[in-house]
Amino acid sequence: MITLKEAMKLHKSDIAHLRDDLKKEIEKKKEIGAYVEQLTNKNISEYMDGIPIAIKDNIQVNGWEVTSGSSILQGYIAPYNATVINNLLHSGFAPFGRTNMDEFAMGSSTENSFYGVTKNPHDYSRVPGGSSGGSAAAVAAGIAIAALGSDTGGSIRQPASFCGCVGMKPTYGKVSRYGLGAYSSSLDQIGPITQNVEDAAILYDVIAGHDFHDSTSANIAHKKVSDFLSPDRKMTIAVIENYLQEANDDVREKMLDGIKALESAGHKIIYKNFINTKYDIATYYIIATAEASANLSRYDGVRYGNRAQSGNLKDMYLNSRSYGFGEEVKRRILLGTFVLSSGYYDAYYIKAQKARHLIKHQYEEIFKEADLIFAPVAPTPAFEFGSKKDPLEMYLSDAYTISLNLAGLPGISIPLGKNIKGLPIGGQLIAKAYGEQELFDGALSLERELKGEIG
Amino acid sequence: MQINDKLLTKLEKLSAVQIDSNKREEAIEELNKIVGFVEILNELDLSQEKATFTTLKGGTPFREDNPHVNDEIIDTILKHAPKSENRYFVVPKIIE
Repeated sequence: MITLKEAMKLHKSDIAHLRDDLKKEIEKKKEIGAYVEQLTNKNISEYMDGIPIAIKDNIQVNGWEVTSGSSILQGYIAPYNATVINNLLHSGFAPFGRTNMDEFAMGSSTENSFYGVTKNPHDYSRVPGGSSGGSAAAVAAGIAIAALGSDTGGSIRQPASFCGCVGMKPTYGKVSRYGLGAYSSSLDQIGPITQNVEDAAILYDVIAGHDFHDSTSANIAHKKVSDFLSPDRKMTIAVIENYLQEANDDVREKMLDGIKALESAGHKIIYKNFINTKYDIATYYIIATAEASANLSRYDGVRYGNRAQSGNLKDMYLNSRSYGFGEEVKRRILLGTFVLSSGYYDAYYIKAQKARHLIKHQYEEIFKEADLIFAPVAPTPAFEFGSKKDPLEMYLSDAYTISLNLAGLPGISIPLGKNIKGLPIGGQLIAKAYGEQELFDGALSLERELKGEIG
Repeated sequence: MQINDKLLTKLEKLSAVQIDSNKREEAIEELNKIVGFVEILNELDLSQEKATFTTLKGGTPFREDNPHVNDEIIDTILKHAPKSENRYFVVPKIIE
């Protein structure tokens, strides 16, 4: 597949050809189910002309059905563009196809979509990761040049790792959330999933910047990173030692390859420890579910989407929501309602807010000595469909990605290689808030070193 | 065991979500397992930490209170709403 950087050099007529070819390829590779259109036998959604970018099904594109992978939003038509979509259009890109996702971005495997599952292009018996599994699978399968996803607890980085792509989560506030279906507003960020680091930097530059429509958008002028990529700059990179020890053998082996590559690229490696990931997971599932229970109260069958027929208003609310939401979404709404309810608020929600400070402080301590942090993305490579039936076990698979969202920091998942079964394994670099330039510089240096070693 | 049948009923009422009667037992068990897990936060010393959190310096900004309307958006939403009439959403009777 042509890279994003190459596509930007194409003439208008070549782009039209590219779009046609892409449509044929998407039709041919229907079995993967990366796009909602592949799963519903519909024509690929389009909006304006331009270099095609696949869009996760929770980002508003004017006139498209945008459903967050949920039954409750069937029939909803987006009435406006998300800011990131307008930004794409201004730069000559165009939204092209809706990528499959876990319902309301709640999941780590894309098994919780109303439309059915997306397959991992490297092994059809395995999940692509989630919740942006469709975006990662589309890029990995060569049926998208690049895609947008959203990351609340790892939903860009983990599927990128499982599918062998690059996935980047920006600093909280760098990319506008206006027009993104809200899951957990203090954690959600939109970001790029691409074939390589440079494409990720290009797409990040296109979508980043202040937006008055989003009151949590950082009011800082955006400084382009893609024009100033310097992979030769030497940095101090902290490896999280206890994560390395906990991860499975395949992941540890690839992480060690990554560390070696960073060293031979001239970076200084230091070792640090983080509190047990169990505390991150506990903090995340309190805060994310609390915010979700509030955010998802808007889906009640009155104004948009699916309404269940009922004789009175109260039953209409109850039935629309009970039939419209899937099991995981209901579980998280109930959990969020619990941690916010009178009598439990202090013991759970307030405690999690306090723990969030502790997690952020830990990062700040490490960044006193290091420019970047290097850690695994997930404890294992892509797992098989249906292998994590226990919700808690699924939550544990987010162990290494969620602390970054809690602290609001930027991170990028980079392919480190494949295990003996041919499954990709990713490693993530993490930077200080607004440290995207360091992040991409380090990522590019790692990517080049690894490619050099392979080739 | 924090969550029992009575508390689940209360949570269902608060969140306007209902669990099928044949799945109640399983739902209670799963919720308790998750609540039991998140209680490990009690092991941390959090006495010095603040109870509110924001990653934004100075908090979120205030906006001028200027009303603005985009008719196109309203029309699109009404057109695709489950039921609408004369630019209103229609819902079942509220007062019996």
